[in-house]
This record gives sequence, C-alpha cells and structure tokens, in this order.
Amino acid sequence: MTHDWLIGRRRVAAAVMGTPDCVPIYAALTEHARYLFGIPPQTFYTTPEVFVEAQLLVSKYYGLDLPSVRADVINIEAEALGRRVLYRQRSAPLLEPGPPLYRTAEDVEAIREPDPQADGRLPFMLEVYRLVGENTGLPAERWFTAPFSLLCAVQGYERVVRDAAHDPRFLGYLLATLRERVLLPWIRTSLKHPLPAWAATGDDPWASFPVITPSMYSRFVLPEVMALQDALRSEGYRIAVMGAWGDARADDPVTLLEERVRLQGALRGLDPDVQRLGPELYARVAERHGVALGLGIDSRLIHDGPVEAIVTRVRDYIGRAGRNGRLTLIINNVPGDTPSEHIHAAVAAAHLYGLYPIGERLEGTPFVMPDCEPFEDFARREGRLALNRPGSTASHG
Amino acid sequence: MDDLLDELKNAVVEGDADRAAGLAQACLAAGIPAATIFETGIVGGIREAGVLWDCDRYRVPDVILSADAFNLALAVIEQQLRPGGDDVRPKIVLGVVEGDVHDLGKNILAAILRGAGLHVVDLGVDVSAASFVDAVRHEEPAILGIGAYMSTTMLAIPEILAALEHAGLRSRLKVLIGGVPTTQPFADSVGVDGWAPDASAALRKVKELLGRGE
Repeated sequence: MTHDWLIGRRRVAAAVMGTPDCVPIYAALTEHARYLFGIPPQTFYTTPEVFVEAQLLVSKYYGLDLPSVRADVINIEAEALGRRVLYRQRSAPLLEPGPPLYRTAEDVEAIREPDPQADGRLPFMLEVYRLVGENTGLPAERWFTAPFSLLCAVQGYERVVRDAAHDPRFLGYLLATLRERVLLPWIRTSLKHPLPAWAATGDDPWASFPVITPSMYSRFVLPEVMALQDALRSEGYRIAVMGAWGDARADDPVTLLEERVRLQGALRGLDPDVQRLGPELYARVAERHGVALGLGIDSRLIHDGPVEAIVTRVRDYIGRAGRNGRLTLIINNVPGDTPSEHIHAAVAAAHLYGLYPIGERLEGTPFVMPDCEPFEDFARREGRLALNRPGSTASHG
Repeated sequence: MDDLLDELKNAVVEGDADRAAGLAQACLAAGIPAATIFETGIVGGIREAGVLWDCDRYRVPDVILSADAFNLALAVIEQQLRPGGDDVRPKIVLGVVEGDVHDLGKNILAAILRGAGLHVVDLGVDVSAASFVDAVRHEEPAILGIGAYMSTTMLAIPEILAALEHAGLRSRLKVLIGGVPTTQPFADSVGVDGWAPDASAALRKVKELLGRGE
C-alpha cells in the first residue's frame, strides 16, 4: 500500500504551529471502513492486517490528511482485565453488561498487571501500531482508556455512580490501582513497542456532562488524568485525554474548556457542544492558551446529510474559528452506513474553504461537489476489492 | 404527618435511599395511608427530581440516585399499597434492541415511568426481536418501549415490528421508540405510535398513548 501520508502529516503539524496551507481534516471511520469492505466484526477487530489495511485504504479513498486507525479504544484494557467483548453485526464491539469486576478491597488488591503479549487484545493493539508505522512511515497514534472511563468499563456506569455517592474511598482506591497496575504499564509498553513514540491519547467518553456531576468530575476525573500525566511527564512522555463531551451542559463551560486545554494539550470540541456554544468560544480559549484547536463535525450530520448542510457546517466552522491557522477539523465517529458522498463533501469543503488565507465572505464561494470514484472502483484499482482474508465475507468482490 | 411526607419527598429528591426507606417505614408507623405515602412522598420526590433534570440542575447520577431512593421506599410500602396482590397499573415493557448495550436512557425512563405509577417490565439490553415478541405475548403490555442508541442498531426496530406483526401481536399494543439517533421522521417511516427524544418526553407520550394526557 503506497501513499504519501507525510504530506497530510506536515499539514497537520503546520496547523499546530499556525502555518498550514489549508485546514486539515481527518475522520474516525473505523466502523465505516469495516462496512465498506463488508468484513465481519470479529474478523475485523481481531485481525491486525485486515484492521489496519481497511482503515488506511478508506482514509486514502477520502483524501483525508491523516490516516485514522482507531480500535474500539474503551474496551481494550477492560477486556484484558476480564470483561467479555461482544461482536455484533450492527455496531462496534461492546462490553458485555455484567456485575462489577471488583466488589471489595481484596478484589482490588488482587488486580495484576495485564500481560501485553497475552491478555485480551493487547497483542492485537501492539501489532496494529507496528503495521501502521510500517505502512505509513508515521508513528502510530497510541490510544488508551482514560481512568474514569476504564472504571466505568470494568465496574459498570451505574455501579460507579452509586460508589461515588456511597463509597468514594473504595472508588478512589480502585482508580489509583487501575492507574498504577494497568494504565501506566500498558501505556509505557505501547509507547516503546515496536517503534518508540512520545505521546499517547486517552479516550474518556464516560467523563462527559451530564453523565457525570461536577463533583464527580472534580474528584474522580480531573485528578486522575493529572496523576497519569505527571507520572509519565517525568519519563518524557506526553499524555492527552480527549473524547469527553457535554461542554455545553457544564455549569461553567469556559472554565471547563480551560481545563480541557490542560488535559488535552490542545483544545478539542465536539458537536453538538460546538453548535451550542459556538465555535468562536472554542477559538478564543484556544488562542488565549496558544494551542491548536480541533473541532468535531457530528456523526449524525455526516450520516444523515444532506450534502448542503455538511458543507455549510464545515464552511461555518472554518469561517468562525479557522482564521488564525490553528484549526483542524475532525469528523466524529462515522457510522458504518454513512453515504460516501457525505464524507467526500466534508473533505472537499474543508480543502476549498480552508485554503489560507481564509476569504472574507466564504459563502460567496460556490461549492461544487467533486466527481468521486465509487468505492468499489477504488478498491478494485488498489487490488483490494475484498480484503481476501480468512473469514472475510466482503461483498464487493 | 405532612413533615414526614415532606422529609420522605426530600430524601427521594436527594437520592438518599436508606433515609427514604426509613421515612417510608416511619410514615406507615404514623398511620399514613400507603397510597398517600406513595403519591405525596415517593412519587412527589421522583417528580421533583424530573423537574430538576428538565431545567438542567440535575445530572444523570442525581437521577439514578433519586430512582434508587424511589425504588427502596416503594419496596417498603408495596405490600400495603396493593394488599390483594393484584397489580392493575398500566403495563409497559421496555427493552434495548439487539446489538446495543446502552442501558442508561432506558434505566432512567424505567424509573420515571415507575414514578408515574406504571408497571414497568424491563427486558434489559441486547434484546432480540424474538425476545420482544415473547415478552409481549407473555406480559400483554399496553405499550412496548423500544430503545436504540446507535444509528446502526436502530435498524433493528422495523424488524421487531415485523416480528410482532407476524405473530399477530402488533395491533394489540402501542409502540413507542426512543434513543439518540432516532427521530420523528424515522418513527413515522417505520410506523410506530410514538417517539420521544428523552425520558421526560417519553412519559408525556406514554400518558398520551394511555389516554391520560395532561
């Protein structure tokens, strides 16, 4: 698979510095890639070669500036600790609901460090990182489950809520143990294997308002992320935590965004929060702290369309938050059955309206939907009509 | 007497389950009729929690804890509330479609519906079409509530409706759907009786479907 990902990578790096030629755009399209190739969920999420190749090809098909190869991040460590993963045709892998893994302090004391070569899909993830590096020439982005979301994954969300109210000391003990015996060793291993990397990103969807209260955020989210960052900073690693939403439901959104900068090392806003709070607010906070800004276009809009609405959203965010050169657009989790023309439209709009210097009246520049090669033709041209792996039932071949 | 009921209501609002249970017991000991304890203290509390949710002052954990307090207090008086054991409350069966294990929205709705005096049968998550059909046949609910929380899993809803139709059960009940990716146009397209964007709206829709609209 040959494709020069360095061009897009340079554009993203330039956006961090405020000097790109164009607003970069990339997408989290794991399920969409699986859908396009018609690969059964369990095959896709357990076979590194298939998993990496499908996502890289689909990233290339859409002309994204960065390849996106993301697993079902928030299941990985929980699975290694013993939670069962369910593979369903219509969704990304799910953790099987069940009783909490840890009920007593003795249970917590017995937590052992997962074996990255044997437990759950930790070996799968390490092989994915290797293959991404091999196929793109870029260091693979390392992912982990952020502490609070790992807590919810192993215990069940409602149990966490009840423990936060009735047994907060137990919860604190469990969080600290998960950090020391699970997260820190796993992050260190993933950053060293197979090629060294210096940054890892945590996914923290459970740490979102109104799924949590302000007091839970102050007590169980913020300090845990900071403890993780502190522990790895001294070893030269940079840890960012993203994926929490609900900024618009916080008591004080501006203060929350300021804290997000601290946790993310940049600022990322996701729809529908960006829609509700306005992209200017995100741009102001990012500028005040001198960090790059990522704005996420919501997956429902990308799925439902129409193209005109997608183009308007992209143009709007660029016009209102992209003028200082530090904006990157992200298409949030793309549902499997999203029409390809919707993603093509978002990418084309970003590269049309996002050309620097940004024009004064973007709405005066007409958008023309580009001719897009059907995915089947692209896959045939790439010699990957179906990925032709054991277990694949790809329907395009 | 009113003080005890107020305290009980506050305990439910604040999500203090042990205190709510103790106060329900104290209300019974003080000779307050079970129906009054239920309506004024217990339901009054969960309704107040719902109001606080609607105006963004309560978050999901607050509602979960209030629901816990509601359930524990209700358990204390349940026997006195229905001494004959016959449950004549309107019945609603709830479940989340197969392939979807998001249970939060469904759990909150179940608590709010129970708070409104409905008999809720909760099938849980990852429920197959066949299980929905079995539950409808066995429980004979007035309403079936189906939740789907992903754009991919909501496609199971028309399959459940077809299975109900095939089993000759569809015309006997109203079907209400909800969940993040669902919309009124989707509800119209699959031919259900109601759609609700959140738990509070679902309660209003349930009352409407039961002919109890407020």
